[in-house]
Amino acid sequence: MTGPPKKLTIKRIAVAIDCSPHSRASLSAAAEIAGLLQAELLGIFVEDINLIRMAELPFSQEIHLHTARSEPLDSLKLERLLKLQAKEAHELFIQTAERFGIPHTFRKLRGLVSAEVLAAALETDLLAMGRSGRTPVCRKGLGSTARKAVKEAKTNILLTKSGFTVNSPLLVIYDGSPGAKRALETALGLARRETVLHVFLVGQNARKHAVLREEAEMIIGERTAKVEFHMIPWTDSTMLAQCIHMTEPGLLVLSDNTETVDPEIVYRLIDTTDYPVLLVRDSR
Amino acid sequence: MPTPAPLNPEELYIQCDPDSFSFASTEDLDGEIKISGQERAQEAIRFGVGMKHNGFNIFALGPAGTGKQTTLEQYLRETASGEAVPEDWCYVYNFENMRQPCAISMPAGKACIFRHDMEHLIEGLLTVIPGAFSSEEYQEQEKNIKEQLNERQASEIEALEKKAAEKNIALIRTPSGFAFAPIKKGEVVNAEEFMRLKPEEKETIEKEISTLKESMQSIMMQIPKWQSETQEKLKELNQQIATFAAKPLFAELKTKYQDHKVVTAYLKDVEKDVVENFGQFLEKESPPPQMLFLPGQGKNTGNRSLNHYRVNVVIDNSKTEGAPVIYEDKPSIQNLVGDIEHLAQMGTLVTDFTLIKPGALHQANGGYLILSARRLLLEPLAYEALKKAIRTRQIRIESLAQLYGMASTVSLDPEPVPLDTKIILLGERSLYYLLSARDPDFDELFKVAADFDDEMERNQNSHLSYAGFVSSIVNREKLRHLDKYAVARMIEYGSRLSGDSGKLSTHIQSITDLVNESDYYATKNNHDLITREDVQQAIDARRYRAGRIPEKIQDAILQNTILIDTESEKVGQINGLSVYMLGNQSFGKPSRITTRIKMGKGEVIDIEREVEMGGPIHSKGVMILSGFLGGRFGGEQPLSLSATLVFEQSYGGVDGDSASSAELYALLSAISGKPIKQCFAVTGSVNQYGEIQAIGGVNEKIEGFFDLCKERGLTGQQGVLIPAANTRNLMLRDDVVNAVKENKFSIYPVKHVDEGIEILTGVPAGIQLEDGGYPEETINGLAVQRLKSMAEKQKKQSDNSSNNNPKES
Repeated sequence: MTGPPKKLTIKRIAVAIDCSPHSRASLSAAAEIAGLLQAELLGIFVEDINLIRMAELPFSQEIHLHTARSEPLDSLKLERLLKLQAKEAHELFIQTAERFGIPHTFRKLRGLVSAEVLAAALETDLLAMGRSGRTPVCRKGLGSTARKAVKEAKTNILLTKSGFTVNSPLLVIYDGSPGAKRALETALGLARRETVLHVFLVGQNARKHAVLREEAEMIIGERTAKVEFHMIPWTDSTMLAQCIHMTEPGLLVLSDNTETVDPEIVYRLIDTTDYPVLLVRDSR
Repeated sequence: MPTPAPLNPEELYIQCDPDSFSFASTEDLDGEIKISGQERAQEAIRFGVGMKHNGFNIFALGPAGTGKQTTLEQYLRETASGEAVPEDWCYVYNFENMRQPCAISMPAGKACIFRHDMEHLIEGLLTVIPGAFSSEEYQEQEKNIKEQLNERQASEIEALEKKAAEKNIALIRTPSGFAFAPIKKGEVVNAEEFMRLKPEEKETIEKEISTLKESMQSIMMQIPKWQSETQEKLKELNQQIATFAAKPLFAELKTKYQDHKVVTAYLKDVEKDVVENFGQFLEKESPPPQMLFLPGQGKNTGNRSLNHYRVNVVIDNSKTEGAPVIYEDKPSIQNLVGDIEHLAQMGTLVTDFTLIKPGALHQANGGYLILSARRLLLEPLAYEALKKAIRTRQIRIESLAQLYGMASTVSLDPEPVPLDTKIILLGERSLYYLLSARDPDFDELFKVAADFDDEMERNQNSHLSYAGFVSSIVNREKLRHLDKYAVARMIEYGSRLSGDSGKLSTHIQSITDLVNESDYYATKNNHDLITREDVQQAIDARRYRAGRIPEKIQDAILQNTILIDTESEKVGQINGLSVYMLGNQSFGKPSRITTRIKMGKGEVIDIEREVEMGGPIHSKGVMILSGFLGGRFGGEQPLSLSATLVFEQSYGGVDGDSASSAELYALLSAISGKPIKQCFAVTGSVNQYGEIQAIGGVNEKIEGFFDLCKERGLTGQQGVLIPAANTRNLMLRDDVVNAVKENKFSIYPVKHVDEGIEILTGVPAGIQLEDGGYPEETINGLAVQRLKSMAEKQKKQSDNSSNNNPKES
């Protein structure tokens, strides 16, 4: 149907660190992938300008997480806390990078978190971040920065959550489009021999499924032994989400440039299913 | 008064006729232990064992070695074999109070099965519970419950965020919490811009933020409650899963033990605990190295908490036949009532119910417990613990270390076990009487005294019993058998041991020792059976081994270091006889007794007493002499003499009254002036009427004097005067009997002092005449004359003294 898929080339990975459990997971995953692909790691810590501004307001009050007690928050105190957080993030980043023996750079920025992260990500091939940031509750959907990154970032995005490892089962939605092929190639690049790879063959009928399977098998070849094909006749987010839940994947490898699944459906899937995601983009 | 004739040889040693036996050797006997001569004690034991009421415990009293333990064990084993096998006992964890483990009784042999069943149950639970909790259904439900909490929190906060957003206010995460701030185009309004706002706008924003903050605080206050509710739901789910998984295993056991209410209740507790603490069955990791040595850790449990479900079988009667008969050799408090052991773990002492150890009372429960009273009293607190157990009729385990405060660690207070044991104490008579006199509880708790005699009547039946007993020793000790002549010698030895030719000693230990020693000589003499000669050799060797001191004394006499005359005649001098006890050996030796008289007021002065070397009984004997002299010679005139009596060359003190007749003979000789033949020795006590009374150790005394005479040469004149009442005690050595047979030595049985004095002096004592006097040239006549003369002299002196000092008018 189309020519050979373009391979995803990752030379530099940006990872946003705010020391939340999800961002720690994204740091580990990014470092592991960097180690796997021999890429460089760029650590980003953003001092949120909104926080600094808020501290400057005369009435600003901080509500403590575990006591619900409130007390005034001043700039000085906030600066000190942010400095400590940055230090912690830096140490965590260095330790992780050195553990995987990868080249690394750490950058401390100040500004709007999403804007700064997206700007920094422009210099890299993959932006890794937690599905949600430092929130008082376990948010089911994406955090504001992650959501913005999914919608606006031009680079590939890896969204993780705590407990994620690269060895987890992978899931690819394959419809034969260049984007889907690229996602499949990327998944194969991450998979080890023992990694289970679920491939959703999205097509209207059995014939289409057979064609897709043949193509996918050609691409996969001998690179992984444990492939499970699933014939999916639906393209709406609800049914796809249900199917994804049933396979319990460790990482969704998706493209927002396929023929059968609309990008908005892909974004909704990313938001509603609570799984780590690697969003492969074609634009680069 | 006629003098008694010397005893015939047959009266000196009552032989046992080997031909009266129907067996040739002890091999022909059944070898079963038969104790006879203890009928009184045996009856007491039968009574004590038969009485099931509280306090009818037995104290078997008697000298050591009289077969108390053998008799008791033999009787009790026979009795106990027909009695019911007692129940098993085990300790289990008390789920309501871990410091008080529960005691459970079960039919004999069932406790071990129960323990095995519980181990099997735990193994099963270790499989089914992890299986249930790893099932997809459980995981899904658990995830769902947790998700509900997350969703609830998220929805509340998101609603608040939304509400805030409507008012251009954002919820912002701070490093240690969060805060609300006004926003404009997605960014927080900076301070300058805020300050430029109208006061009303600023006030509105502040108010709105304050309201939102309060709402947020209200939500956050609810979070712990929601978490708690979630935990409750999870707990409920877990318990449902654990109950469902464990139920079939417990149901099987409950059905098996449905007739045993206590076990069923215990299983219920276990099931409840298992369900509540299901997590311990999910832990797959092995314990860390420092936790390897845990209290009573079982082979199948790597987890300490699983010890709670183990069964500590303290009494297993699966192999017991009849009621138990236990002899506890070391009756310490721990060995009696049991103990709670501790293990050192990381510098502290720890324990649990699996370290409860049973005591002899547990083992003997439902049966009989035999203890040595002396050993019991020597063990700290053991006697008190035993009494408490008998009194309260239950066995309560109390650690000695805890009682003394030596182990200040958490310990256990196990549930007491009901006690139904007959206690039998073995001890010497002195102990029994001491306890009876000094311990107010004793008579209440040990109501039955089984008094073991140290001798029994000698007759044909007891001869056979002795033979049977010897046979049992041979079988037990795996020795050579004895021919019937050796058995006869054994019986004769037993008779000599009892100090009575009409009795047999029941001192089993002495007989056992002699059989063993005879076997040694039989081996040396290459005899297939132990013969009479072997037995005699053993007896002689025993005497030789113990003979150092008698020989030293004999040598001293022969060398005249100790003066004993056996040839001449002396006035006021006589050979008395005394017995020395050294360990378990005794021997006789002659002692010279002398007396001197002078004018005085009729008193007999005991020099031994004056220097406090005489015992009270000896002093009593000497005072009796005064009574005799006064009665015989002081009726008509005052006794104007003063006599002194002494045991010559005695340096170690004298007691007993067996020399009082000898002292009287010496006094009569001294008063009458008639010499006593020193070829005689005398023993026997005397009363105020001059009658000679029985004494102890007659055989040793005769043999002691005989040995001296034999060394100096037997003349045929030598002999010993003994109380006629002691004739039945004679079991003399062969050489003495042979010397008598050959008329080289004589033994006179004397009933009255007048008989003895005639034998000793060759002068008749003299019978009182009608006028109150005595014939001249008799001992009594001469004594009366001497006393009369002394009285006259004294009167004369008194008169002269009065004349020289006339009364003033």
